Amino acid sequence: MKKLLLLPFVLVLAACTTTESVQPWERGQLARTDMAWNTDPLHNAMREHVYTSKEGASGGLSTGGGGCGCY
Amino acid sequence: MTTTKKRNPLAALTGAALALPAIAQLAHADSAPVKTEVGYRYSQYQEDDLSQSQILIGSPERYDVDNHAFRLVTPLNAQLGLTVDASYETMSGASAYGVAEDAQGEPKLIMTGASIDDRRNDVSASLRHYRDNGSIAVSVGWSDEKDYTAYNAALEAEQSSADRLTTYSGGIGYSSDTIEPVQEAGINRPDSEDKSTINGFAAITRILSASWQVQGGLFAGFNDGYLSDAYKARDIRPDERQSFGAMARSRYFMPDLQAALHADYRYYSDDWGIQSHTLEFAWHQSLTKQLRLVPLLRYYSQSQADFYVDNDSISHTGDQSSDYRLSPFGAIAYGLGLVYEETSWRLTANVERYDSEGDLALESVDRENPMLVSYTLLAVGVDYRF
Repeated sequence: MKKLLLLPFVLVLAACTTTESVQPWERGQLARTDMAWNTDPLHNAMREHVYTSKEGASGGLSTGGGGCGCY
Repeated sequence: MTTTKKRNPLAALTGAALALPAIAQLAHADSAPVKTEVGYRYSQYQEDDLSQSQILIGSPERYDVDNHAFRLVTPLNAQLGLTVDASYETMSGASAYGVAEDAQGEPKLIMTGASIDDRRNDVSASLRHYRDNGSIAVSVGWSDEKDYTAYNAALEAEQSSADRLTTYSGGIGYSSDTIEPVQEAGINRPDSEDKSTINGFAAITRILSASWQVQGGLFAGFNDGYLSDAYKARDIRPDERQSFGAMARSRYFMPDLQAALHADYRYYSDDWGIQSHTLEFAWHQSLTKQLRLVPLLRYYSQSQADFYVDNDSISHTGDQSSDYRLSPFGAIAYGLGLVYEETSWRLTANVERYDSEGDLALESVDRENPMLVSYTLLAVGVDYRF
């Protein structure tokens, strides 16, 4: 099960080695709102805040804010 | 002689893209916002009450939170964008004072008798400067509760390759926190304690095809100062904590289905002995041009901290904590979101259910912490662009 969870990370690293060219005018789908890395920053901030206060792990690919809010 | 003015295809595309309502609000880090957007979310967070069989003394009521969050994103000029976030929340409920064994040797909770009422204000502002193929942002923030005050600042930057297929990003943040515990007669608590946090990340984002992009990166954090819980009977934690993690994310669009699949994975490890895996999937299904349905599924598992104890016995010496957040457990969250979007406004509604148990952990758990939480999160929101 643990190895299975690591699979996405390995796949992403492998995918990064591909060199297919995508021209700027071909990026309409990538620019869609439902393809954003964070589709709802306000709601996801609340979700992350709850996870951080309920779980031992925290952090990610952004610089977090501060405060406790430790329900 | 006539000269023909050549139009930059990237500029043409960007202009065309920004003319589309669904894309106009995209204030991604590689392009400055062109419109002002204001947003509001109301969230109601409700934890399931404990069963009486889990409690030795005190109230079975757990936390309820009402949160109001606001966001403003606005261009200051062609190269400068400002984002301001503010939230206000009220919290009430009881928390665990400690864990004791009952006559049968089972861990039971000692809860605070009366309901705790608190509120939290949080404000942050971020200024981002955009230039060719990159941007740099500086942000500051402040958070305040009855017993807790935090100030934070961060610097983030990103740079894309000439073909804009690859983007490198990174950032560093700092937070300075002060806790002044509410005092109660007969309970020995510190008057005032401090802690500081430094965190940073580095990431690579890569466009793989016209419908697929991935992101991978590393992050790290360092906490220094008072990291114990002042409201617990016996909670003695190390005064430093170093954490490290790796994250991989993917966004894949399927034109035939008009759906986008989001997949995120995070690995986390710290020198307190906690390792965790988080895996999340979200399916963004467009039902019409305006309406989108978003089911999501999240799995989380963590190992226990080295100094975690399953009860607060006086026989324990040195670092010790019975906090369920340091115990071994796993959690499943599932939810549904609804987005309705018109040219200049958007409505959102979300519901999410979260259940944590010892049995959901990747590793077997002998004694589950009785304080493990289950909750429901409801949210509604509106965004307006002008």
